[in-house]
Amino acid sequence: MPISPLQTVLRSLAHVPKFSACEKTISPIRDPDHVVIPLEYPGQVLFKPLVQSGDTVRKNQIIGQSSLGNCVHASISGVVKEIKPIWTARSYNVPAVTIERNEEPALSADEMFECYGVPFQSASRVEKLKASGVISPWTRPGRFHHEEEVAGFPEVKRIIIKGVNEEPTVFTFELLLEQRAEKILQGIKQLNDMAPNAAIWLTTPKHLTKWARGQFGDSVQIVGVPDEYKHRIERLLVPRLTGVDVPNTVPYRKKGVAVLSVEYLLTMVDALEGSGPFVNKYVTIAGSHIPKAVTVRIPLGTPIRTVLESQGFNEETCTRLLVGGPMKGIAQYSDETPLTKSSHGIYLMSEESLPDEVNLTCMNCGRCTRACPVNLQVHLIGRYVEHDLLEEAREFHPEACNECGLCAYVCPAHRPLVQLIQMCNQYVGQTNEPHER
Amino acid sequence: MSPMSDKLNVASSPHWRDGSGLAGTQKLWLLALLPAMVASVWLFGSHSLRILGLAVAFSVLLDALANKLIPSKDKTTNWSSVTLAVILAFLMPYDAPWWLILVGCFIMIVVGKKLFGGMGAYPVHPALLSYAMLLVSWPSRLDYTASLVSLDWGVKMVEPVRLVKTLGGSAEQVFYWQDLLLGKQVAGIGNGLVLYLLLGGLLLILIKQITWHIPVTFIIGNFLMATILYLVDPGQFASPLFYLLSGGTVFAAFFLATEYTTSPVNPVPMLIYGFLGGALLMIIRAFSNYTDGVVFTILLINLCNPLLDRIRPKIYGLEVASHA
Repeated sequence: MPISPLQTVLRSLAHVPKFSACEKTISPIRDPDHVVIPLEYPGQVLFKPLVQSGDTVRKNQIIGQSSLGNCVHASISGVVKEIKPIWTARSYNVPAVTIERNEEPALSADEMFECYGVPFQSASRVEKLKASGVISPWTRPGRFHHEEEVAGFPEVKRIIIKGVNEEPTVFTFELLLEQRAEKILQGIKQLNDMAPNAAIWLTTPKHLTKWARGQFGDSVQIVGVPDEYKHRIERLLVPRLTGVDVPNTVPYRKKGVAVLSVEYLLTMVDALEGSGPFVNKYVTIAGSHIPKAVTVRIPLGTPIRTVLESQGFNEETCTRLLVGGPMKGIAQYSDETPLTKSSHGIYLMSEESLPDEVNLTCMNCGRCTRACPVNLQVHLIGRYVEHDLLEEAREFHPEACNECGLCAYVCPAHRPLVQLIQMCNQYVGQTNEPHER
Repeated sequence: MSPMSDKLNVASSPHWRDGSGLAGTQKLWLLALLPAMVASVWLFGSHSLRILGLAVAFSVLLDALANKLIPSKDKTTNWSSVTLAVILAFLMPYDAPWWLILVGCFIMIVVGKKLFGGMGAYPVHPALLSYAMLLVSWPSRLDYTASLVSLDWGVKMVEPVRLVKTLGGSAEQVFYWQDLLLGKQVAGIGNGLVLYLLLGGLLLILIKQITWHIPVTFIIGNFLMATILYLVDPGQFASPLFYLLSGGTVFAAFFLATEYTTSPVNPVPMLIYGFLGGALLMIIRAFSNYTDGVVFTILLINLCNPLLDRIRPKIYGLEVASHA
């Protein structure tokens, strides 16, 4: 069990403040002029396109299908402009469909299931999920494993529903938890039906714990999670709640643990009751110069710029653009990047919020090592990798790193510690490597 | 395509940074040393200003020069040479001549720091390495008692530890603990200013530049060892509190033993390291020829650091062999 009270006293762990101000209402943005929908989630699933450039597609239409029958849908109605490789927000080069908007109406759920080949009424639960683009909830998220591997995984015994995001600036899960409680309760019932033997936990922000007990307390165990980032890190939360030690390099599912978010649960309910496929995504926009974070609902594949413009954010003041949050988010080189199923937040950073100097010399103060929630000797790994001694660095088990970023957060020399560990791990080839296609 | 694509800044996560920068850290150390610096100037006047000024000037110049000859990532602009200079100055007797300071700074910056690869790479505290070399080269020039023989603060003008060493434990009655605490004791220009150093040290812990582990265990170690010795032979040794307040014990606990590069980084080794330092200091004071054992204590525990830091906490999230 990581981070015991004794440890907290022994090692002054880092304090990452939570972005406190957030707009409670979730506003949907209007359909963008174009969307870009990736046809692959590297290492997990690859879709074969069912459309060609020039085709007219309607919203909710299936435009790609995987070998196991999982689907990807058009999130707006329009004309397919092209199918070509793009760079995703997570820096993978994958094929993607670009759709330019027209005014055709959306497909109804029945029409969509007709396309899939099985009418909604006679479709099994798994078929409904697959047809709606909700890949079986046990496969995502987690470390990479191909959809076909899932068949061999053990029965799900423990389920964690995430009602809080890890990132201090992303509010999508907690807002949905508060505002869609009834539907979430339905989702929990569905989970109970699907995995009758599983224990279910629901994480909530501390201030919602009491309310959540009243709402969901009968069917799930409510876990109040403090606001501080170090208590929210998923890879640490999962073993603490379930009591199952899941090694960092192993998907949760291999140990009979499933982790899903409330957002995911909602799309699952939609899929099962036939109210539409997974085409919308919730995203929180925050930033160093944005006083109040806003959360919006967007069609999947909307470019970042369109989302920002819809909320009237002035891009000129932004120097660094992140998809995700400030701790684990990925800096984008272009604001054309489309947002996908795994993008929960956008974070804008102004010039002033970036450190003046980076990658100074390590003075061996060890704050990184004391901040590391999994007890890695970060200062040693960082210096070994810096001097190209990757074999030596490997002896300190960098593969246990879940890239939470606390080491680099506290580093007074602003060293790129997470990157140094990543380099080491890529060399080891045990984590972060997508499977062969 | 996009006007933003050209100007977006790309870096690896995390994007929030809490670190103050190396120069920032060193400036906070100087802030913590400031109470003692002010007290030193108040006690010794222009002599203290002269030593502090010369030490800082020599150190920064030598650091810049060394960096010019052999450029490294340990830049002069990170202020580390200033902090080291102040620490070395604190150990100097108040009549230290300019050439002694120059030689001291040369050994500290060029030999102690730069030759080993700069900040983060040296095995022992450069200021103490330098002071130890000066001490064995010119012992008479670094004799605190001799240097202050012409002054009279209304207290016995002999190093407290030395008097107890020569006259036995009862000699502690000559000193009042208030005088010792306020720095009215024979020592270098800064290392005996117990109260002001204590305030600065607590500030360092409060602003999270150092952790409590080493200072606390250092003092506990010193106190325990002194208690044992006192109980065994009260005729020869003074009471434990006397050793805590005399000489550079507090300076060592908060400012010397906690030096980043030369102290352990893992919590358990830090506890052992501090305790070892405190106990060793008392042993050196009790049984060696040197009066105040601070310098050699710190150098010795510095050498234990790599070994102690091999006591590492268990890593979470590893694949266990039995599971595979």
